[in-house]
Amino acid sequence: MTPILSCEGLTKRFGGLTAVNDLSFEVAEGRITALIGPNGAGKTTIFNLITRFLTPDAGVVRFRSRELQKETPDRIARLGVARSFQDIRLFSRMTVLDNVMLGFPRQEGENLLYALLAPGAVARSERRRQERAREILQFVGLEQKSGAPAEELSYGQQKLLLIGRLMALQPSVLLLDEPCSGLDPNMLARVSGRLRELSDQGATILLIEHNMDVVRALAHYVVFLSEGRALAAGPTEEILGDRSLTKIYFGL
Amino acid sequence: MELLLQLTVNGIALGAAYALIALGFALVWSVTGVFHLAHGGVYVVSGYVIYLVAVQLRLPLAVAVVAAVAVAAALGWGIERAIYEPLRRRGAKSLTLIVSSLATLIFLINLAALIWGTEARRFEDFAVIRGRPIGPAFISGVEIAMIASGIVLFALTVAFLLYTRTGRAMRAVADNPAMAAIVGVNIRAIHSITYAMGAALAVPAAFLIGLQHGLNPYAGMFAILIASAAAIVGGVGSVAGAALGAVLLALAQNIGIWQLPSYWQESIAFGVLLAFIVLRPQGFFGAQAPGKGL
Amino acid sequence: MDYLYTVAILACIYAILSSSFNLILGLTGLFALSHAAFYGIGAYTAALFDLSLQLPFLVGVAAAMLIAGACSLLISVPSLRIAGDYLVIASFGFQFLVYAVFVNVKSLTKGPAGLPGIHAPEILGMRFDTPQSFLLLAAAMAFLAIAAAARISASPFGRILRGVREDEIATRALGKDVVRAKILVFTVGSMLAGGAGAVFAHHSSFISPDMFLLDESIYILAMVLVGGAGSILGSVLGALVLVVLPEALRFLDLPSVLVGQARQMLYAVVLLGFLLYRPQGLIPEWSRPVERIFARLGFSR
Repeated sequence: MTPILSCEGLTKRFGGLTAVNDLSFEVAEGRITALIGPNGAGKTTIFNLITRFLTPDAGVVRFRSRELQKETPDRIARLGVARSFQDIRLFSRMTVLDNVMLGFPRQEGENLLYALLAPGAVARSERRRQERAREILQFVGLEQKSGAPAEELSYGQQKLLLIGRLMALQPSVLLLDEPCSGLDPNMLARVSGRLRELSDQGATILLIEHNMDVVRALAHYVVFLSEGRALAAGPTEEILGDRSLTKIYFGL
Repeated sequence: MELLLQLTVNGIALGAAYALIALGFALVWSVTGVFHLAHGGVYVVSGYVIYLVAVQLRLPLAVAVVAAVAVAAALGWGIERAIYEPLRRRGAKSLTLIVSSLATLIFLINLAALIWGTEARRFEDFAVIRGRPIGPAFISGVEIAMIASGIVLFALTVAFLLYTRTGRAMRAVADNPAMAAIVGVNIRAIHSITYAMGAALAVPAAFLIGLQHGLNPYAGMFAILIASAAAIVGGVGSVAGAALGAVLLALAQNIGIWQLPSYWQESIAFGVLLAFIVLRPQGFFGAQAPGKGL
Repeated sequence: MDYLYTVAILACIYAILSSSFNLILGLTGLFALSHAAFYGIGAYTAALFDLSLQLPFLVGVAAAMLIAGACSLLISVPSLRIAGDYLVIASFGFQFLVYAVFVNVKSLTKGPAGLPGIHAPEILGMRFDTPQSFLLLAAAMAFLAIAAAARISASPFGRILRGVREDEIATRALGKDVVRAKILVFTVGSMLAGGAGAVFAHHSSFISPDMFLLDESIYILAMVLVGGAGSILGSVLGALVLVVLPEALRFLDLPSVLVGQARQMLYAVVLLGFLLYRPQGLIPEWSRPVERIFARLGFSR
């Protein structure tokens, strides 16, 4: 299995605290990899380092064979590494449809001159995108809500829209920060079902998750983190079956 | 060289007065997060209150200063309670708060202009302190008062923040409002105290600058430009930085006249500000510019 | 009668100013205090092109837009790279700087005395020297500017701007170059303000530094918020309301020295009232049907 994304020796210090410490791991193409570990293990920091919302103190992030050192967050997203945020961050005063529409890459009409001078062409491409956005909303089960402002969605629906918005970007790798946290069992089944289906269609997903049932159901691989280091990495059953690791996880 | 020394003396004195305005602004900015442009309006009104009581009503200066401090504090407190707090309760973003603050500034300045006119009002001579020569330069009584009150009030403010219960609560709110609320700090009260205190700090500056240049309602615009620029130059959230920034801006303005015609004085402040935004956006004491990372 | 034409012409000019400022403030959520400065830069550029270089009206308009746009980069490029309140203060300082230039670079601007004798516009031999004909010209210019603003608002670029307003970090994470978008919209808004300045200079035939003070920026700001932040049609309505409303003050018989201050206080109170009691403005951004119909004006969509 070839890694599509890899970190080598990634290190980040905040003052005296080392949040991520000489961390190396790989994400396999077409598979779901879960980052697990106790709170404060540096999981969200890793996402911020990969997508360059934070600058690492040391280490290399490689996507395909490209090093992401010199890139900015928006360029990394355009290259195909897209992320979500734990606190969702939807565009609350925009419609559900527009939340998805904003996600499409390289839109005609994002160029100002084109928007001003070729409204016909822009309108045609907008209709195409609208169709595609409606398909995505159908996939995540929000097609009824497409005209509503995002702030009117329930928490679970917001998490579904989050996935829809990232799908519009058609990324090669999806970094999802706790996509299933805080959901009732019914919604949890819906969200994890969508992730499973995305994976079946060949998507590569890196997941931060606390719910071990979700990890067991979804992830092919698990990277176990503690205090900013990878203590273990491997196939899901192997890692979750390791008693010594579960002890660390529950702080025993 | 004599001229340069004289300009430096003038700059430091004016800077000390600016520092008092900037101190109040920075205090409000860091504790409440509001870009409190209306502070310039409070500054203008408090200057005119001294004028009203001391010159128009011919009461003792001490009464005038007390009255001005009371009016300024009440005004600062009132702006928070009547405008910012209701807006915050309705979920307003910081953009809305800035706009409301600007509207309040415009209101207060034009109110002062309506009442006292747009012609500069001059104080009669309140010379209690005599000026004296410093080498070849000269420092006026007002300038001595500016520097003295600047240093004393700055020290008192810092001591207040460090050593009193209320001051420590202010710093806690500035640092992390949610956490402060959890440990039992009354955020609403702290906000109100901060506005009142910030406003009161502007009173001596308004009086002393008024003594030197006369009172002019539109001076409130420039005062708030200097105060907010000083807060940025000093570093977001740093009260000491704001005071230092104010002195730096005043020095740059005054020393600038050494080489440039005096009518560019105000533009020099803009030049310094822009240089800081380009070269050191975090200011003197700021750890990191806001929004650079997450 | 001429008085009514003048009010209508001013309404057109302010409609350009408010809809362009709405792109910056309402759509993108950037707060700047310098719109009047770019308006003034446009007015002075057009006046100088007319008086000193004797170039035709449309050349002056183009130059006014280009120079206003170029000057806007001076504050947008440094301060928009950083989040926070930096643009507020940089634009505030810029407003002071521009005034100082208008007053003090006398060789160009004649200082506080201002520039008189700006000619009536002429396009292809047609002179717009009566109030009626000038109104036509001003209305045409306003239409173009408003249509451009509406088109931007309805385009995918406009969607990025709304994204920046709602959540800049999330917009970045979706691969959009938000810094570039912010600088671009600030430039376009400032260019349109420059164009409005050119129209104003030719309308009033005399300009002076005190016509482009912070007060003007506040006036424009009030139009945007009264009309409805984010709604281009709202800005046009806001301009109409706030051009006509103060005219009513004329009939109140205030001593003339007080009129200026009373007007300013009126704007401040109107602004605060709207922020507190109707923050969405007269026409909320969400009344999409109205916006859609409007966006079709002169469009092939």
